[in-house]
Amino acid sequence: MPCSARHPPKEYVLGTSNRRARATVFCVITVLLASACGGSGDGSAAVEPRAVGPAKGSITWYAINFGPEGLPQKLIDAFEEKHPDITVTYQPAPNNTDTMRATLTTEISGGSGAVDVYNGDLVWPAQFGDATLALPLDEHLPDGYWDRFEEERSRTTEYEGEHVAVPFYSDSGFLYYRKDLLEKHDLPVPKTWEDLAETAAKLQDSGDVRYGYVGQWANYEGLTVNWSELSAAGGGRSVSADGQRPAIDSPENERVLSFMRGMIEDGVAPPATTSFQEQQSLQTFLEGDAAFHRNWAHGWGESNNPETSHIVGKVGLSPLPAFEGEDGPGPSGAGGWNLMVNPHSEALGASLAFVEWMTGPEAQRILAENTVIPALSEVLHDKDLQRDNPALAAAADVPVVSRPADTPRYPQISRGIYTHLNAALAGSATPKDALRAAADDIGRALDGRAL
Amino acid sequence: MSDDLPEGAPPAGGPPPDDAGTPSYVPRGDTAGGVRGSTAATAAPPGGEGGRLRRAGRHQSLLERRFARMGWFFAAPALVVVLAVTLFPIGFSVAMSLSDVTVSSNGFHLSGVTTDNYTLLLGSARWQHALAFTVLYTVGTVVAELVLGTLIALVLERLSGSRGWMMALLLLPWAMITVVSAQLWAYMYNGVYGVLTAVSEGLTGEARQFLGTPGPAILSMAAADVWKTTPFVAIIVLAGLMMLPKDVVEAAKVDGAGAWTAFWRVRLPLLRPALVIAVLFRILQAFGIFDLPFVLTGGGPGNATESLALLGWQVMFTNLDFGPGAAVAASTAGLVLVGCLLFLRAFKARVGDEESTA
Repeated sequence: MPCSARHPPKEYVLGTSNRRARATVFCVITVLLASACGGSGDGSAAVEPRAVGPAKGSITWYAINFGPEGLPQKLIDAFEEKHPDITVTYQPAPNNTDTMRATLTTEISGGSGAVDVYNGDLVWPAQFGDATLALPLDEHLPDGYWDRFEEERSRTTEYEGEHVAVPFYSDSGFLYYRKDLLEKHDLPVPKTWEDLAETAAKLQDSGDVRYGYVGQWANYEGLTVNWSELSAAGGGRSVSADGQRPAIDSPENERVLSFMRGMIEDGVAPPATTSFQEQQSLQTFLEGDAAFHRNWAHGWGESNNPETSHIVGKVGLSPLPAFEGEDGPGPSGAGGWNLMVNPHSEALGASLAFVEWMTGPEAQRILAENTVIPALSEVLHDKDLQRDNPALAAAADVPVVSRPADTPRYPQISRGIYTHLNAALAGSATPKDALRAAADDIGRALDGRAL
Repeated sequence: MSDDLPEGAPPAGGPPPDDAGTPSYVPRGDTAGGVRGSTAATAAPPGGEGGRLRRAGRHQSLLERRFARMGWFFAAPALVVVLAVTLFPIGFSVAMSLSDVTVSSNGFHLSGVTTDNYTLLLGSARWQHALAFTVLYTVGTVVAELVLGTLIALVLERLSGSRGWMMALLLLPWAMITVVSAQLWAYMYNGVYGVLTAVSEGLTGEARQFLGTPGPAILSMAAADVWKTTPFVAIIVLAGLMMLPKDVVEAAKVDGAGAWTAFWRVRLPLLRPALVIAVLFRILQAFGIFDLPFVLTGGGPGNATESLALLGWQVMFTNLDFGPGAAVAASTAGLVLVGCLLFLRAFKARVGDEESTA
């Protein structure tokens, strides 16, 4: 029956009155929701400043599984030995800072005290402080507490003059290189990026290695770190020193970005670098396919782990290069994680004791012995520890460049940087246009007009 | 509508075409029943099946009305649950999108009524790009899936013995959780060790970058989507094919139609209800695509593969800008609603009608 596929005239199952009724119900619900939610915001202040309670009970620590397997539990065991009244449960976080931030925001803004202490990314304090997702700590920690950190590191945990986090561990970008290949061809470790590109090309031409250099140039936060290092090494910056204006559209930066793009065009860096995050670039290096590689401190342990690496014992580590005509070595991007306290924690006393112990010499020494760079200066500068871990030695000496993260708008700023640079590296925009577009985006972000 | 009817079909008679008549907005209570009854009667195909499915609402007995009331009573708890889990978030999103939202450890604070969030959206190149991408992506993947799915369904229809196995195999991609299959594709597309990268190098002598540059990244993502959801379309179309009356095709053959004509002029028009449902489902899903770009590209390179859903998530949970984020979500929901209505209108088909007349 062909006829059956035809349609009878429209039926208006919902009469007007019905529609109106529905619309009314919907509006009422919306308004009720709006007022109810508005009301909930007027409640009591986050926490009574002094009411922290005794240092006992059980707390939960939420953190990405950092360092070698089992390190968080190792730290907890050592802590519980010193504080028998406190039990700590380790809750592993998803291995992605954005997913972790989403989880924490949902939980804490929802009033949950399920997590007491959590690891917070180095770039979170301004944003979390602004949204009161982290407890302001200054009143609760002993006088002189902050003296244990280098001032620059301690400043990264402040928002509007108040510490909303404590530095837990640091991280820096390093240049990993194939010691064996440089020795074989009698080449020095490059001190400038221009040298590096030249050396890499020589090694590639000799057929000993497939690619010259791999870093993290994918469309994500890591590119902002890589960029901050390279840009600073060439005398540029992305946001003005007072944090008010974009400064990315400069001749210095254009030189740096053109150089990066040139590395891809010349085949020194594989085109796939524009989709590389830490894991992919490290893998390429560990397979023995790259002569030079930029990564965080954990790259040292991984390179010398026979289970994952094809180049055990063939790896060297040095500070990053500078650009020709600039002072060397090039600065290293500041990384690492802080500890933050949930304002809804029901065992604040215990949480604060945990935070204080974790930044003390005992815990920081455990970190250093496990190839994690400690935040505490006295451990960072310990000569004995430095002998065992060249990353520690380098980290203590290299100049550090921070990302422009002292504003709650940092995610938009960073996005403005990495999206446009990634486009330029992938060849779909010229360096000049990309920098101009990034400057526009940063300006919009600083004005609060960016999505 | 009558122009795409098979040749020789009876001309459209009875009721006026949809757009010609004035819509009869009549409250349901009194006369609506009469109108419905009469349209059903006139529109009913010769067999009268449509008429049978429709109840003449005018003569409801007391018992029937009592049953109806009891029905409401029994349905009430479910209704409350539905209101709580669907309307609450929707209403809350809309409320958030229309006010100034501050997030704090005490929850969300909504103050005032403002359209700033939408102004920000409309003026943002990032949103415009995400919108354009999402629309193009939806159209592209849905068309590809429709064509491929129909072809597969036609092949499956021919198979007799092994159809069950084939269908089970075919459904595997659809059954797999998207995040998992997206991760698999991410490995295959990996710029250095991906198997597809290696294949491309073997074929062309150059290792292609599937996710590193905008054009290929979009196509690669669309390919993963088509791979995953074509089976869904195929199964729906196959179900539609199985329900086609055999005599019509036979009659067409008797009239001298070749296989192609019989398919194009007779079977395809009859398949429309199934196709409409498949396309509608796919539009809804494709427009809200989140997991695939989240895992495969993170929206990159640049903004290239950033969908509206991914944008909304990032604005909310990376920037902690819940007002603009809610505006992205609410406008996306509105757009997909409008899109589906336009689609249905274009095909002059409404799901309810299809079900009762097919």
